Amino acid sequence: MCARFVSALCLAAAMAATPALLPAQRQHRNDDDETSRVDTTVALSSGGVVELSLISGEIKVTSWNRDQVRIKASSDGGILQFDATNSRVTLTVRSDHDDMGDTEYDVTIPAGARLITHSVSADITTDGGSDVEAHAVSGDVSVSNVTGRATLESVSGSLTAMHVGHGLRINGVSSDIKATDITGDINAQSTSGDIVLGGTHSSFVHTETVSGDTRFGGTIDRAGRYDFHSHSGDIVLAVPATGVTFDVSTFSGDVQSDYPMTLQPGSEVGQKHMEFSINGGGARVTAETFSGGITVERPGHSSHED
Amino acid sequence: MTNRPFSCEQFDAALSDYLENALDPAERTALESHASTCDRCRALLAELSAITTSAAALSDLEPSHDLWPAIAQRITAPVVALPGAAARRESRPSARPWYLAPASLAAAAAVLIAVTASVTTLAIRSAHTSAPVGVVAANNPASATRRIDSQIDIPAPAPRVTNTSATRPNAVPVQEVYAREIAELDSIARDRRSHLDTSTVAVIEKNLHIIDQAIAQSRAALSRDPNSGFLHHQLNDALNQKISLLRTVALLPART
Repeated sequence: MCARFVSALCLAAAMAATPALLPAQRQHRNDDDETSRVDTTVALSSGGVVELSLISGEIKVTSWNRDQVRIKASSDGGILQFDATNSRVTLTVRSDHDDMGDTEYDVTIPAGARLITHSVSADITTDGGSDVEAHAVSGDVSVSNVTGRATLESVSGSLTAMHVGHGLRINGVSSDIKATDITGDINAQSTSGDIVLGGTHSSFVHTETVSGDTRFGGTIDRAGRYDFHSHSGDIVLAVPATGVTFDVSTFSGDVQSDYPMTLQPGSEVGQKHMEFSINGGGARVTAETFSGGITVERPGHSSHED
Repeated sequence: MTNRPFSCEQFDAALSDYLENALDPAERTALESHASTCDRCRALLAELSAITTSAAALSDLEPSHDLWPAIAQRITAPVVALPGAAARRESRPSARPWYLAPASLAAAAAVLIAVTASVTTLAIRSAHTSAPVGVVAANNPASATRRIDSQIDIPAPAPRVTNTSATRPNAVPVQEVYAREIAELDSIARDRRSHLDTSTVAVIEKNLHIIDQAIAQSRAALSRDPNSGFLHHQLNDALNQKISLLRTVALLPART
């Protein structure tokens, strides 16, 4: 253990003394480079992948306009394992004993890189990247400024996505979900956590909860499809007065609407299944609950703000 | 359309729409009437109905860990020997990262099986689905899920259907499919819980209880209104949530 620690210190010192390794000099480092600390910069080709995983601690990722990955990482009791090729950079941590302690990653990636992160209890915060995946168990996950697609998962940690350019998939169990300024398809699911979608620009939105509440606010594409499902959670939809056709169903919940509900043939008010349109119809918005309330409101006229 | 029974050719042409619940009542009656008199078509209908109900129990599957890139890299990457590395390698008990632990690999293998089954099922189903709809579904996983969900209602899709087993005698009851899938996943998830943090297990138990309550409420409502397609849909949504949560549990990484 002592020898390993000394070896790690020597390696860290050597890396610190070589802060800017040229790509040609730095094509590969294998997992025999064991250390409790990494501080280095390596080249990554355009569209390359950065994969980071740890158990507890914190992952912070930012981006820059260089084809390089800057990594600062330290682990209290674990052994960092760092692999780098021209197309993929991988950093993980392992332990030969039960008590690993916290590990921290502070990583800067190329703006066009694909990022994959895994943690158990560690929080994950990312800013930038083309496609981003962030998976945690109890850690909080926050992802922002993704030019491509973002995928977020946590069992109990909060899930936050901001400024995503090309689609979002976000799944939690008790996690509260918040997504803002999302373009592209949106899929959001939580069992007991709330889902709040704001400032979205999507032609396809699908949400599911069991007991969690759902709130949607965003632009509506007349050719779009928007589905919201819950068992006992409330659903509040802030929908602009563009052409929308609503299909609203609830078994025992209440339905309220800021817009006049002009029933169409086939609507069954007694069974709390109603279809109505605003501004001539167009986008199809479906909201279904078992016992949760459903509210359709004009943006900015909310009586259900948190 | 027509109330006359279909020919086998008409039956084949309309079968996918029937399974999609897209036929009008007269066409449904004609198709079912033909199936009741034609052994070949009745068997085909039963088989495809069983497939669709099985597919309905499977929603989107995405392994939380993509293990292959890490494996591939370790296979193909050149190894740079360092002094003392071999000795260290021999002395340490395990050099694999935590997400390559046997339990994680076992869970991934289980998912691989499930994914394969799902893809196979969907591929079989797509052969009986009109191309434009299939393209939409393929381009949009979420819409594909919704289409699957819509098929869950096939055993009791319309108020006039009061006894599905009478119309499709060989169909597997949806609830039976769900029960089987949930039991299998629950078994995997129970094994997995011993590897998880106690607080995470508590969250999972609490949310499984929430889902079980939703299932019980839906079933209680259905017992009072067994012909409600909406309530069937609500029940199936809750069952899908349970399957999704159990699958998530089965794939969770260990706490260490």
